[in-house]
Amino acid sequence: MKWLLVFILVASTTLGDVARSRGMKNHGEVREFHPGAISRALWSLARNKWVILSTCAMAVSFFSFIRLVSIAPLSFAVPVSAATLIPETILARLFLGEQVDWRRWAGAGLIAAGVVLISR
Amino acid sequence: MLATSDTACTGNGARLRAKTRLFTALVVVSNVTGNSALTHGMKQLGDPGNSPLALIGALFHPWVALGVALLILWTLTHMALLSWADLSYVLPVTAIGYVLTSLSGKYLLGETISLEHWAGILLITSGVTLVGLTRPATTAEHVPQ
Repeated sequence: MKWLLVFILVASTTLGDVARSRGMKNHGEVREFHPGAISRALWSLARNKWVILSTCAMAVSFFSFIRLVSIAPLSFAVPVSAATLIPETILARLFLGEQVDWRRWAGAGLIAAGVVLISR
Repeated sequence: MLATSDTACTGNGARLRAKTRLFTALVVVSNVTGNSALTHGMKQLGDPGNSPLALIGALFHPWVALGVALLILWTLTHMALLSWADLSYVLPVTAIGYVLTSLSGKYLLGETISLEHWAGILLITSGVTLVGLTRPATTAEHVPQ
């Protein structure tokens, strides 16, 4: 049960983050933060298909996370969620067209290794 | 932490960098505090089982509700940050949250941190610093839908 939840958590978080990033790139930089501008942005995002997909995936991710923390310690649940780092960096390069230079790859690798150490 | 070495400090670059730092901090703090409040609440409730009703019922527990409110703030600030910064930048730099979670476990809950754990904290911090040196945005602002 624990590892099934970990798989669902990692897959849904990866989909959620990548779709959210695509949707927000399509939307363009959020520049204004007064209540009127925020409501206009939210209204426009509510009709953005990538943001809708992301929100559904994040809901799955959220419920699998709270289910996981109810049966496993936070010191296990939070670090395993870091397994998303590698597939998301690959998808950022392939699907989002980001320039992932050696510092970003090395940084993602160092963080993944560090997360393994702190979760033992 | 997020200082740069390779961007021309044009007005726009500096503005984006300051905004990125502020939102990175908001994303990290809301995520760490939100997850902690949520976990604290779920531990008090115990295993809710697989029933969706029990999970929805859990949302009315005060600590769970506080956690959810903080995670809504996390969602909004994370979305705003991703509207101008790369996912391959945001994901690693916000990983500093793992270090904060670890340290809050030590200082708030009195847990001990092993040598191995400190090594992990050092690796994560180095990774975050390395990615923090890159330009936050490498794609055109508007990608055709």
